[in-house]
Amino acid sequence: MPRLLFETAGREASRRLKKARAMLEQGESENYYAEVLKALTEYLEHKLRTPKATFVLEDALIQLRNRNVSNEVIQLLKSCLEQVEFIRYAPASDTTEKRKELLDNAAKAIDGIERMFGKRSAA
Amino acid sequence: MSRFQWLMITACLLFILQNSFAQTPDDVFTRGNELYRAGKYQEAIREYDRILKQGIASAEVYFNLGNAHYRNEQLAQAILAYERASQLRPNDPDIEHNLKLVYLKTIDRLEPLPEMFLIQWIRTIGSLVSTDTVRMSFFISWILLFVSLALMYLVLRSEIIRIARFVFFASLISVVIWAVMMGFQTFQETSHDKAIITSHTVTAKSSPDLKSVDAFVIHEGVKVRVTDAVGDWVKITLVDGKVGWILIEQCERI
Repeated sequence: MPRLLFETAGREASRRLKKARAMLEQGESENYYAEVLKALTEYLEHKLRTPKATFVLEDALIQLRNRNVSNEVIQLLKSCLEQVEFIRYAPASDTTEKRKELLDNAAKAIDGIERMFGKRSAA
Repeated sequence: MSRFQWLMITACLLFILQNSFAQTPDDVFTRGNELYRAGKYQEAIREYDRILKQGIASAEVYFNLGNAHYRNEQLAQAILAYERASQLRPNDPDIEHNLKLVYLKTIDRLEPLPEMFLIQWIRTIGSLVSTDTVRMSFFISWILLFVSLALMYLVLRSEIIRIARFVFFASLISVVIWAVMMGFQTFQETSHDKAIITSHTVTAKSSPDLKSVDAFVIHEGVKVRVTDAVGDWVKITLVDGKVGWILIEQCERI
């Protein structure tokens, strides 16, 4: 059975994060951040069916909220993306702990979205 | 008023009068049925033929015509009429019953060639469901196909996508099946290559020439397939696979 991108988005994102972890261990920090950024944005594009050209992070986060993704998960995702952006322009604040934390947070955020997306809220 | 106008008015009046006195096909049909009940089969046949000559093709008329021919002991004509009725209304139990009955009266007993199992299946299924059912089912699965496709690409909920995908593939398969059956039924309805032998005894030739070798002998009422025609000759194929040439007036197309 062929799968839609919407359905494979989660798996694809975890695959990219795993790749990013390998890069981290080899010390390729440039590629590592690019990979994490790609994992997150591509995941959102596929999950929300937004073409790359019209993808705006703010809109994406609003859509996630409309689809019953909890605020904590959205904040986690936002902080991950901010961290990636920030370190790109201020490499001085980069530490190995922060990189590892970023990976865990990104995985957690994607996992949270996968679980809550489109489901009725527990409340 | 000029003479021409008077002429026109009279012509119109005459036309209207003539129309109002003319018998509707229903009247002719009723009279035919009365004649049939009275045992005047010859006259009944004439009445039914009058309706059919007007270009009205009706399964009821053909059915009654077949009955009248049967009573009048015109076997081939009865079969012809029943076959035409059956073509207009396939799978009608009355028509099928009479057809079977009248075929039992024919002299030849031909053993049909075994068919390919796939075609046999389609034929069996095709005779179980009516054309309307097939068309309706095709239409519904066609719509389902696109509705499910739209759902798959518009909805952002994985459960719905999963169901829509299942419906999509199910309707895809059923669209193909119904389309094949529809094509098969349409082909059978529109094919006019079947004929009934009308002469009492026919000697089929191996080529369209009186001097050629005799191929086989068949009798009145046999259903054959016409596969070719040359001049006064037609090439016929029997259900048991035998092929031969007969004269065109020895058979009549259904």
